[in-house]
Amino acid sequence: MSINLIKCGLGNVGSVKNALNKIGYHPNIVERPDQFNYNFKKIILPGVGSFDSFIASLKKSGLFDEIIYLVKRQQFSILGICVGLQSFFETSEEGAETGLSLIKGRVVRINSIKQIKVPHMGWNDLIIKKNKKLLFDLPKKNFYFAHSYYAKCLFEEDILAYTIYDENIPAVINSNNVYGVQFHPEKSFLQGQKILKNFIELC
Amino acid sequence: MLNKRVIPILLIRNDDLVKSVKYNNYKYIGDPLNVIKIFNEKEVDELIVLDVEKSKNNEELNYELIKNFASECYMPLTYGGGIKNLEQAEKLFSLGIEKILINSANFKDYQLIKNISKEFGSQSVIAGVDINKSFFNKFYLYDWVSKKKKLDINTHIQNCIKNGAGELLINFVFNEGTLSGFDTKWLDFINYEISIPLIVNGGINSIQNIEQCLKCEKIDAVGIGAFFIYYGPHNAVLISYTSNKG
Repeated sequence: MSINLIKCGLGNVGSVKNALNKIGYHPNIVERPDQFNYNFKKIILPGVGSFDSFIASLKKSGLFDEIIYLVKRQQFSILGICVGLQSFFETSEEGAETGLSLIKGRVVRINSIKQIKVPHMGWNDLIIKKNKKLLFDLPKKNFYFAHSYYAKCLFEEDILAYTIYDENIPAVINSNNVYGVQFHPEKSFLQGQKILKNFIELC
Repeated sequence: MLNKRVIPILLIRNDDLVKSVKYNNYKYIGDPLNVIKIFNEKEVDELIVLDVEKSKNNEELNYELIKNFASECYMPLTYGGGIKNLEQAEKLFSLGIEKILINSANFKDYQLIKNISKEFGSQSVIAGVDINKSFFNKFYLYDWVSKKKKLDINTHIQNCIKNGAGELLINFVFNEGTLSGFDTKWLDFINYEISIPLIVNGGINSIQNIEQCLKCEKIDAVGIGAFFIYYGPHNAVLISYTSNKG
């Protein structure tokens, strides 16, 4: 049982690996396209860093095209975390690169007209719109966020949960086999570990 | 809604957990890893670990120790102390550190903050700003490596923000570790809107004092050292925590 965990230049793979170990999984760390485990068709894509530098390092390692292929043609499920989620979209105001384009929409900067502080940093609550398997049986509903940009989904039905920070920010998204969380489950205690467990076991 | 945060700040010296008074008179507290484990069990909002001597002594970081810290934290962990370049930052992030605090390096220039922010995003870098008080009760920016009074505080803060800091930690050095209470009036010198989250630190001494701070509009988070480490009139070591989380 070895879930594919992508280590891509700037990813915070250490934290995610720790959290996975805690719930009893020892991930297969993937740095190159030939390292994917086909016997376990799940991928976790953690992301730290700016949109452009993250996409650029995915491209440089050859993982960019491979991820699209595995998700679209090989029915791999994928969970993106933070910038990992943002990379699923088509464009971002943070940069010029084109994203993986697995979900329709674009990444925008948190609106600062009302002098709200950016980054959105700290523990915030989920407002669940659609209770799908990823969100099954969470012990708590507050999670750790740390971001300046967020994904605006083109289709409302792709949003499973929001969080409120001046405006509604999509916090959990899902379209077919593509899942994303804007917060950091690996840094959100048991409720975060439960999300990782749900993805691995139920999605 | 977003909850304001209560953040224990732990000081490390020669790989030991220590506690200071006004960044002086370091007292041995114990094994940092044990204390981090306790804070993890108490589900603290975040944790900040600062090595107080790495910059001063120009030493390389103890990555093995930091890796152990990170593996005990299922909440966000910030590390600061002795970081001089982007390679060190990258290594820290790969070990599982979420945020890096830069303080001394900002006195040289703001290039390190700028580079970290550009590569890893501004949410990953905190600017640490130490403020001390003169004999005439005037605040000044305190550089505890060179010990010189330099820039104007507000200019320095603005420069940190402009160059990409995602968060600000202001330490009131003259009150640090004294358990004599934090006074939100100290923030009056900030007469403009700070566009990034602000953490304050220095002398918090009660639950009421934490609540007063969190009621202050300017403050997004409070850093706490001695109050969570000591207990009773004789400062016995006893790790405690109180959360602002609902």
